[in-house]
Amino acid sequence: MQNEVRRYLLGQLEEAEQERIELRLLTDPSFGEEFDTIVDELTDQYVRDELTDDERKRAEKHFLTTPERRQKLEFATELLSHAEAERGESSQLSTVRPIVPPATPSFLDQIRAFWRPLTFAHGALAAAVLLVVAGLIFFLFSFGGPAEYMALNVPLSSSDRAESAAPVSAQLAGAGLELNLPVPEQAKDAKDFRLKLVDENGVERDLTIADRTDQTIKVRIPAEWLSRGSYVIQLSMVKPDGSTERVRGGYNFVVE
Amino acid sequence: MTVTREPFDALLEWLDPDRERAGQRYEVIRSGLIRIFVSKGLSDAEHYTDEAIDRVVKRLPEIQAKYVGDPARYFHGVARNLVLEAGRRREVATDVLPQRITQEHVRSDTSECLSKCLKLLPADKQEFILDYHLYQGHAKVEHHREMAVELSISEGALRTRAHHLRVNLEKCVLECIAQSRQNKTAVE
Repeated sequence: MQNEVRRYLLGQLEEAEQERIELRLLTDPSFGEEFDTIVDELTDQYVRDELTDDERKRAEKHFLTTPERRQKLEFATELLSHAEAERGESSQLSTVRPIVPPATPSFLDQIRAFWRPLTFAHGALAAAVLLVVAGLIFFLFSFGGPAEYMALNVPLSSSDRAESAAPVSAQLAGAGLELNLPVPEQAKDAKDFRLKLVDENGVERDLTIADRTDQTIKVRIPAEWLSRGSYVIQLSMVKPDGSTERVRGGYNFVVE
Repeated sequence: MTVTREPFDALLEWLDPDRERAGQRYEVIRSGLIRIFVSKGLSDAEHYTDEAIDRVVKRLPEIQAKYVGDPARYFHGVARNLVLEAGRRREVATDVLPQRITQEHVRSDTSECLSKCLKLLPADKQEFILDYHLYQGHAKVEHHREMAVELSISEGALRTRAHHLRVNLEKCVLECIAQSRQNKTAVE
């Protein structure tokens, strides 16, 4: 339900699914609080630049349009900034790292993304981030580009659940995984595709297609989204008439 | 709220013959409508909520006897119509964020008020709310797990506790901002 509410807030649900959420808001006394918690979490993710480009655009178009939500955004920005400042004092910024967006970014995008998080919260924090940037620039110039994504070919399996014994495994290193997914025969005529990453706890995330040919779909999954465990990518195809249909099975992989 | 006493009593009676349960249902519907209107991008959600309730109350004499089903569903239908009407009048905010919002880390009344409101909290709660919001991504998930173990509560209870504290903190900050702006206006 958490993921469904999130998609409702981002304007990603069909009419019937929206109605289900709205009726629950009007009838279930405990659901309102759960809903508000997800609003807060989504606001925090926007502030911390944890959303994909698509989610970020949707948040700006559907989620952050009212004065109430903008007020929440301003409050969240300050609250997280205070928390960041606390971390700066207590942990010497050991966990600070630049955000690498899932799609291959331009140099300017990297700079913009780099400054987007709450790095002004503390002078020391800014200094530490500058050091990281210097390192990143050195890395880029030394190795000719951000080759941080580990490529992996994942076949379509008949199982559509994240299982513990998935056939393809990957060591998590760098910015994340770049997965090449074969387009199944029954989906060759699809106009477009929707892909969803599901972990073994059932938590779902929408994936953005990085590249697509007739045979393959390429997606990039940032390391922040992954930890040790089993995952499945569920594929839906958008037919020429605009309707959407889930493709049976899924692309299973394990992160070790 | 433009609804007068007698029709409002009839509305409560329609929601549930038990007055107390009817009151609770009314509150759930009202707060639900506000959440729906905000989520649909309507700038004055409270006004639309009042309008929705007003419309239901006005139609109640006609529908009360023959309507079958959960009254919440009827409220939902009225709310959807209001959203459509507002869309036709272009009252739904669909613009991109104004520059003011997208600017990074604008020091403002919010920041000052948050500092004040945090200081009003007992030390353990102040520490809790900042600690809860420390990390992002998987580090956050791990951190919340550790916090729940430390406090001997479930992760769900931790989340609820953090949410309640955040709601109160946000309320305090909003009141402080309103007060601060009022003071500035008085000085001018």
